[in-house]
Parts: sequence; C-alpha cells; structure tokens
Amino acid sequence: MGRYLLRRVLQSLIVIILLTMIVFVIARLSGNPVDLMLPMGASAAQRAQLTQDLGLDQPWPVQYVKFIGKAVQGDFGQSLRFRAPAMELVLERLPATAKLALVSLILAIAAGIPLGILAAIRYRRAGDYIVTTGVTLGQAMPSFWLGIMLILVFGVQLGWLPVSGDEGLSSLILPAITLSIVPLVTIAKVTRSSMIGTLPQDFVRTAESKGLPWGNVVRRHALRNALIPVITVIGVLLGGLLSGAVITEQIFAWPGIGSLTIQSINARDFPVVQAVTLITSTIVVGANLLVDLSYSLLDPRIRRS
Amino acid sequence: MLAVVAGCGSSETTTTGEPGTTGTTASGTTDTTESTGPVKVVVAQGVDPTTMDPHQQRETPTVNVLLHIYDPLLERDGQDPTKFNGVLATGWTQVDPTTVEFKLQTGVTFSGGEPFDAECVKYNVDRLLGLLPGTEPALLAYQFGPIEGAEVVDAETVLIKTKAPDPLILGRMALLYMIPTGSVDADPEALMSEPNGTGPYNLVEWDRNNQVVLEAKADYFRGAPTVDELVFRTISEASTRLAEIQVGNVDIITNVPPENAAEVSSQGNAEVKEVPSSRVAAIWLDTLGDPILAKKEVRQALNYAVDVDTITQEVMSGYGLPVATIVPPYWVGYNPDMKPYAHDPAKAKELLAAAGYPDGFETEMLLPRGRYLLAEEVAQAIAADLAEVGVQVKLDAVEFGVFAEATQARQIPGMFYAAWGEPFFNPGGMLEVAVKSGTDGFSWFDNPEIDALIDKALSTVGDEHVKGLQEVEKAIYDDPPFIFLFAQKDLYGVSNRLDWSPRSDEWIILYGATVK
Repeated sequence: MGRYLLRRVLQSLIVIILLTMIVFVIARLSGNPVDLMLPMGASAAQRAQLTQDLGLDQPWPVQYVKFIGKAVQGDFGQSLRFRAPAMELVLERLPATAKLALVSLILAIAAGIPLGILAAIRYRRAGDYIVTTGVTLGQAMPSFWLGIMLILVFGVQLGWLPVSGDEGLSSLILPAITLSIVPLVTIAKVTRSSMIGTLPQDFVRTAESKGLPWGNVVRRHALRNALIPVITVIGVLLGGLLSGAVITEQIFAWPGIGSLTIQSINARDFPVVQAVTLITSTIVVGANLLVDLSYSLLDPRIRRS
Repeated sequence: MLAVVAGCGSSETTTTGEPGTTGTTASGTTDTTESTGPVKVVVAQGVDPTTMDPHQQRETPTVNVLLHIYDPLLERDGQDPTKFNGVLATGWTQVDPTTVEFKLQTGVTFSGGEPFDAECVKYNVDRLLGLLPGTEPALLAYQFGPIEGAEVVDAETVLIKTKAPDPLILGRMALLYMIPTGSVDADPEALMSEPNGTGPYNLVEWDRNNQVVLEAKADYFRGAPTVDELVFRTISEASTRLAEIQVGNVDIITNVPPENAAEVSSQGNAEVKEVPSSRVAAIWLDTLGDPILAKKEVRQALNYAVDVDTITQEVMSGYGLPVATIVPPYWVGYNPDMKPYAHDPAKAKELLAAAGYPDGFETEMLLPRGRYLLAEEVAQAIAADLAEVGVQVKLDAVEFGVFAEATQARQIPGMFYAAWGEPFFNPGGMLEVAVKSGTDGFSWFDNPEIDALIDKALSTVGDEHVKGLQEVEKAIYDDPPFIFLFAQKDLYGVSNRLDWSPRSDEWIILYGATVK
C-alpha cells in the first residue's frame, strides 16, 4: 500500500507540473501583456522598459525555471495588473468559489439521485421518459444561456432574487442552480443506469420476494449497491464544477476565482493565470487521487495490479 | 428539473428575513430609496480598479474610483471639455510659454491630517516623474513627458515648468491627483491599498474583483457630498450590468450596447443618457508598406467611397458623429470650415482610375473584436461601400490582445480599424503619435510638410496653437492618412432617482450629483 500511495502521489505531481508548463506556454503564445498595458503608440523604449520590469525579456525556459524556483518557496510572483502577490489574489477568491461549487454539488446530488432512481423504477414508462427528456434538455443548455435566462426571469421580471454579486444566501441561488445543471444531469444519468443494472439482480429479487416493502428494497438494498459508480463520478465532477464556475461567475459577477481567471486572461496577467491553474489543478488532481485511493481501500484487487 | 424549482422556492423564504440594506435587495427598489437612511449610489464597471495609488494607474475604471478619494489641482469642465475648473487650485496663469503658475487653496488637509500646500504639489510632480532620489517614474508618467518639474514660490503658489511650450499642460495637470508629502518615501507601495487623499470620500472597503465602498467626508473642503455612500461594483458581463440597471440595483452602468438601449428603461427604473466621447474612429492605411495605399488619390477615393453618414445613422443607430478628419466640434483645434468627405462613389472611381486602378484592388483590414463600439458591424458596412467602387476588403477580426500585439509589432495588413481615445480633447496627441512620420509610434504615414505643420502647432500655446491645428487638419484632409469616420458617442444607463450627467472624458464624477 505504501509503494502504491507513493507512486500515485508522484504521478499526480508530474501531472500538475506538466499542466503548469502547458499553461505557461499557452499564456505566452496568446499575447503580450506589455502591448495591453501601454497606450496605443507607446515608444519602443517604453515597451522595452516595461518588458524588462515585468521580467518578460528573458527566454521562456529561463522564465519557467525562475517561476518554478520561486513557486517552490511559496512565491508565485506579482500580478502584473494589480501589482499584488498573485497567489494572495487567488486564495482571497477561493472561498467564494468553494462555497458556490459546494452548494451546486449538494443541489446536484439532492436532485440528481432521486431523479435517477425515479427513472429507473419507472424504466420505459412515462416517469422515465420525462426524466430522460429533462436531463437531455439540461445537458443541451449552455450554462451562459441558462444563467442569463434565470436572471431575466427571477431577477428582472419577477424580482424575487438578486441579479448578481454576493449579498448573502439569496445571491447564491441562481448561480448555484446554473452551475449545478451539468453535474445534476451526470449524476441522474449514472444513478439511472446503475439502478437499472441493480434492480433485476438476485439479491434485490430475494429481498422483494421476502415480502419487504418496495420502498425499503429500493432504498436499503438496491440503492446502496447502485451508488458506488455515482460516488466515483462525483469525484470526477469536481473538475467540471471548477471549470464551469468560470462562466457562471462571470455571468453573476460572483467574486470567485472563475471571474478572476477571465479578467487575468484578458489582461494577459500571467502570474495570476499560473497561480489559478496551479490551485485548480492541485484540487482536481488531489480529488481524483483521493477517489482512486478510496477504491483501493474498498477493493484490494486494484492495489495489486 | 422539479427539484430545481423546489430548491429555489424553499430558499426564497430565507431572503425575506435578510436585513435589508437600502436599495440593494432585488424586490425593494423604488420604495426603499424614500427612507431617511444614508443615501447610497452604486456604479457598475466592467473591471476592478487596479490600485489605490493615483500615480500608478492607467485605466479609466481605476480613475473613476480614485477621483472620489483624491483631488487634482483642476478638473475638466463636464459640459465644455476644452475648459477647466479649479479644485485644489484657485486660479492659474500662463506666465511664459513654458511656465504656468498655480494659486492654491489654503487650509486643506488630507484624510491622514497632512497639510496640502505648494511643497506637496512639488512632491507629487517629483514622485510622478521619478525625480525623488532612488525612484523611477510612476506608471502615469507617460502622460507627463513634456513636464520638467515644479517650483515652489510660496506656500500657496507653485510653478509648473515644461521643457518646451506645451499646449496640453492644463489637461495633463488635471490627471495628477495629489498624494500627501512624503507618503511613499518609506514604502513606495504605501498607497496601493490604503489611499490617503483630500477628496470628498474615504475608502471603507476594497473587496478585490467584487466591490469598492466609499463613505462621504463630512468635512470635505468644498462641502460634504450629498451622496453618503458610494459603491463601485465589478460586473464584467454586459448583459448582467444591463439586468442590474433594469431592476434598479445599480445607478450607473457604462458602455450600454446600442442594440440594448431600449431595455435599460424597460422596468421604468432607469434611462439611457448619451454623450459625445473623446474617442474618434478611423481606418489606418498602410501608406508606407502598401504601394497602392501610398497613392494620395487612392486614399482620397476610399474616403469618397465610404458613406459615413448612413453608417452612423443606420448601423450605429445615431451613436456616432461624422467628423471631417479626426477633430470633433467639441475639441480644441476644431476647424468649423471643414466638412466631411461627401459620399460620392463616382468620384471615387474616377480617382481610382486616375491612380491606375480602374477596377479597384484587393486588400485586408484588421480589427479588434469587442473593443470598440460596433466595430465589426461598422467594418462590414465599410467593406460593402468599398466593394461598390471595386475595392475588395477581407475583414480579419481578432481578439484585442492579438490586435495590440500585431499593431505594436507593426505587422498589419493594408488597413486596420481603431478608435483613438484622446484624453486631452485636442488632436495633438494623435497627430504626434499616429500621423507624424516615424516607426516608433502608431503612424503608417510620412509627409514631411505635414510633419512640419504638426511640430509648429504643438510647439505653441493659445490662439497660435489652435490656428496651427486647424492648418494641420486641412493638410491631412487633402492627403489623408486614414479613412476618416466618426466620433463615438458613449451610452450610459442612469437610474431615474439619480441627478447626474455623463461626461465626454468617460470619467464618472459623483461629487455634486444628487439623489431625488
């Protein structure tokens, strides 16, 4: 188990380092912050000075090695736009995103699992068709469109909920619904197919034939077994929640790392983009690692292979 | 899907119990404003301020926050942008072509208690230009190139010296917001997040990327502001800003897209206000690298071919003001005798034939996406107009970062579309950088006679300066470096309860605004 753990942690570290490298290069390929920071028609001397000030005059590999060298010591550089520590900006924003992602995930689980069960026990009947259609529609809806529609209906027309910003619990509702759709759809689909596979199995039939109430059979016998793939998929969904937060936060002016990411990319604020990538990739890779490890605890066969 | 709606309904009950902050909850928009609590105004901007240090910034959204915390010596007039009003200065005179004398307010202090005096003005100029020992010029210094320094005469008199006669000196000084003497000596970043100004407001909270909250100073030297609390919210999505102004949660939004103008007033909470801007759109022509565009007749033909009037009326719904060259009527140096090129395709064809291109030619236009008002729609209309006289233009719309890099690297196709912002309401800056020859700036044009006219106009002050600019305007009309287009109009959404008018310089000044 110790060697397995070590190998998985090392693999995860390599993934994170590769990711920082890719983002480092893509960010620099996409444009130059100096051109955006200086007014139109700034002189070549002004550009050279600013390029030097920002440390962008050196070759990329040198810049990258310097970045990693400092990052190891906890220094992720200064935001080019805010002239403040990049990691501080990201960490300041992280709780807002965590709150939004967590509430969305809870919403998705609370709605997705019952919908999946409903579809499975009404397999190929009206209930199943309604849920499946709804899920397909949900999957087809782009989240920026859904977000704007929710704002127009509940924020503008009905005036029930705040349009944007973070002013307490009521502000959380619309962005959380928007962000929860994608994981909700996935959870409902996985629950449905897993339940459909479980319900005809012998142990379920036995429980049923023993005369146990149907609700009990579904809840205590079928669902418990059917939930294992659902738990797996929830781990994977975390990455989707963080990337989905970029668009959702932008629409609802939610002060999290998603909206910070967009602003930073637009301004070619490399250090912040790098810090965001590092944090989010660590979270996603870490979550997947935990899911993998939890399997191996549950199933010894994985450890040996 | 059912569960989603249910979740929404159950949480709704929690919102009603929430302590109501005045005018911010979605439901109570019009009734809460009548309560006697503090008067609050909310402004929504697309990006966050970058700093609280007024010398280390370059972006209008940052200025809009800082101008409420700090004061300049003088301020551009909101109605006539060629005039100035004193703030920390009570008066000024041009004592000689390179010196302006400012008389200062007495008894003004900063929020931290430091006095404002002539010594303080000198400290600000020195700090900005990097003249303090061991310092470098601040970010804003790029606007102050011609300034040599400041000289203290007595506590309430200061001289600002320029290296050569500078017609833009007052406009430059209006950009310089005063910080206390010595405030950044020990720590150059002391003001980055903790401002200290003489202005009408103090900073209460800066929640980065979310909002800035300011509170009024009761003892402000020009009188306490009538708006007690000022909030600048960062809402980067245009449709969200639009929704917020519709329901009345915010009082001012900037850059309303013309196609959405009608929506602003749809709930009866706000209306659209327009103001001519300091941004002039034009199509830059590569007269240096493109042998066809090098010909004067061709460039004149292009100007005759484009129907600017129809474009501003139809494509821009009236939110553009055609200009003869690059100088709108409300700028210094406007020449009232000049009229825009007429739309005359026949004449354009004649000129093209005379230049040796009776069947036109093919070229390409670079334009930044989502940066300038309706740029893509306007560019398409221009391409259609040019096609009528045989000039086939391929449009290349790119993200602004790519555009900026291409133009700075001087790798442009035959032409590109840009709207030049001129904070001084004077074509001097654009002439210097975008018309005068030289590959260091933003110019793809070389005419020694026009260079000489520009130098002459920009080395004089007063009436001579204005006359010089008018001469340049005539010269570039005849030998056009651009396809001349229009001055943009800026659209704001303004809540009905607020008595405030937008300004041409894109600055949002709420000192003096009142809430009904």
